[in-house]
Amino acid sequence: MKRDLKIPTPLILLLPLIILFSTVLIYPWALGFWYSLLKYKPMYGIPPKFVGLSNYIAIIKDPVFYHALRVTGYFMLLAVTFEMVLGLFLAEILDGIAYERLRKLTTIIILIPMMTATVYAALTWRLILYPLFGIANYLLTLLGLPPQDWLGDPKWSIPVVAVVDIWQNTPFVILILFAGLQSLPTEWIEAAMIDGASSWQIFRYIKLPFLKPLILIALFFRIVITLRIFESVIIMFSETGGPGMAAQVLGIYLYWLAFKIWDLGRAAALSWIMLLLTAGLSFVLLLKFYKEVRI
Amino acid sequence: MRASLGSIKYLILVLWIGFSLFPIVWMFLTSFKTPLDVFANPPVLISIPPCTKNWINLFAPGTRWEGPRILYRYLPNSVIASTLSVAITIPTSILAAYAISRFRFRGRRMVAIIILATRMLPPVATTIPLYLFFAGLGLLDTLIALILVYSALSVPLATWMLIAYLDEVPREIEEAAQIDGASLKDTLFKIVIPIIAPGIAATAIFTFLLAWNDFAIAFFLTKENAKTLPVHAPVFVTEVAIEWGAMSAFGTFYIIPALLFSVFFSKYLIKGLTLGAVKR
Repeated sequence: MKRDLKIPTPLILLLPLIILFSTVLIYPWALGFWYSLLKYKPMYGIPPKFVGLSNYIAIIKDPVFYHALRVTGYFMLLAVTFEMVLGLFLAEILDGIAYERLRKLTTIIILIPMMTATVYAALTWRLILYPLFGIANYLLTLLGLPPQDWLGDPKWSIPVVAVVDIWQNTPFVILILFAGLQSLPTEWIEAAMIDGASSWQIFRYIKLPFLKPLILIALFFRIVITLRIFESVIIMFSETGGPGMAAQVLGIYLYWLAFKIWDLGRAAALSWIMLLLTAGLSFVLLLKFYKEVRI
Repeated sequence: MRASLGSIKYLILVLWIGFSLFPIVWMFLTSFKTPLDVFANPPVLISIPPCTKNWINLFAPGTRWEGPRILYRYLPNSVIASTLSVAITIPTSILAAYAISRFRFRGRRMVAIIILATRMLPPVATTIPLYLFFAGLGLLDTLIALILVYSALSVPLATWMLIAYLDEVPREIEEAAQIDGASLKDTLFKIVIPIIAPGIAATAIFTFLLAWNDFAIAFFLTKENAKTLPVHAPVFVTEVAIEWGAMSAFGTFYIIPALLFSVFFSKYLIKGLTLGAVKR
């Protein structure tokens, strides 16, 4: 390739992306920042007024915001822990299936929940967990356990939302770690087996270190993505955020600010806070993982 | 000891498969149950004969969920928004991925990182800026708005996946073609795109499903005209009397594309998923 051609061509190739990003992402976010500095409640017919950072201050002083943060954090902890542990475990089991046909069929089944919509996942789990005739409670009574008010009891609200997330997103962890295990050189395992290593030792000292970068990548994606939890809560508990606001995650708080009390200025401020939270979290995690992962 | 450990592993796998499939199967079966069987205790697996009333009801006029609108408005809206966002995303991403994978320009790493960072944008939070933006343009509740947003939000993942596919293709083929005088356009359309076609297909499916499965964006940006299928879902559950039969029919109807794609393209999807997340 000629050298003088190199400079403009990538720019031309990137132009559609640049146009799309700047009109539909960057400009709206900049506009959102401007609105976050305004007192803007269009439903009340009050003209927008510049108020500086007071929307941000109002949010930081709002106990509901901290409640939403706590609820989101609890959900994140619960969902991500289960997804990572189950994902690692199931990837190892899947890798151990000797029959290729069976392994392929299993992979397809594992993939399915991940491709379905979160709205669908929440609908179907609502059907299963419905207190009066839901099959979950029926199964509990078969085991001699007391039925639970899954959707009405605040203590279950976040675990129930986490189950939907675990059902849908553990496959992501399984498939990534499974792909990693498949690329592990078989000679390593064979050599270890000749040396008399047990399958636990092989897992602990060969597979786990080999998978570490992938585990961190999966963990990174799961943490950052669980922050945006929204649709399953809406479907399971409607906009109210569940019994006693027990499932009032950040997304629901945002919806409530924007479309229940119609304070669009403050909602825009919360959007920016959520963006900064995501960016901060990503930055910290990447910094922590940087040595292990080449992203 | 060895044998029992092996059987425990298989048991866990079988349990996971059951856990994965059960909700889908259960909803499918519920969609063919009579109202009496839906509420039966102990639960019945299937109504005999299967009852198709829920499915007829789902699309029938005069219901609370406005059956005909599902067919004449929400379904076409979902199809159009998803398909056209693929039509914008794929060409945009192919060009961008080609630039990043094949050219060593200044700021290349920076561009790649910015694209990855965009992937992390939380859609829920993005809805408010977008709401304000499209309200200003008078484009709220239009398909144009949805298509643009879905495209912008899928381009990062799509570009990332396509870079991974491109990096697997040896450059020598293109270089040989260019020495023979092939233009950039020819190289791209006649050599590169055919080679990575399976990768493009997988990327297109992911892009399609990102739009098809989206709830948050459409929930905030549409009201009625551009309303998509998932945004209609709350109608089935927020009322006091939940019509489980019709809801199950709706849910099952809604995930048909996702099921078909997972079953028939699983090989490419899994490869794309792991490549896109793992490489680089």
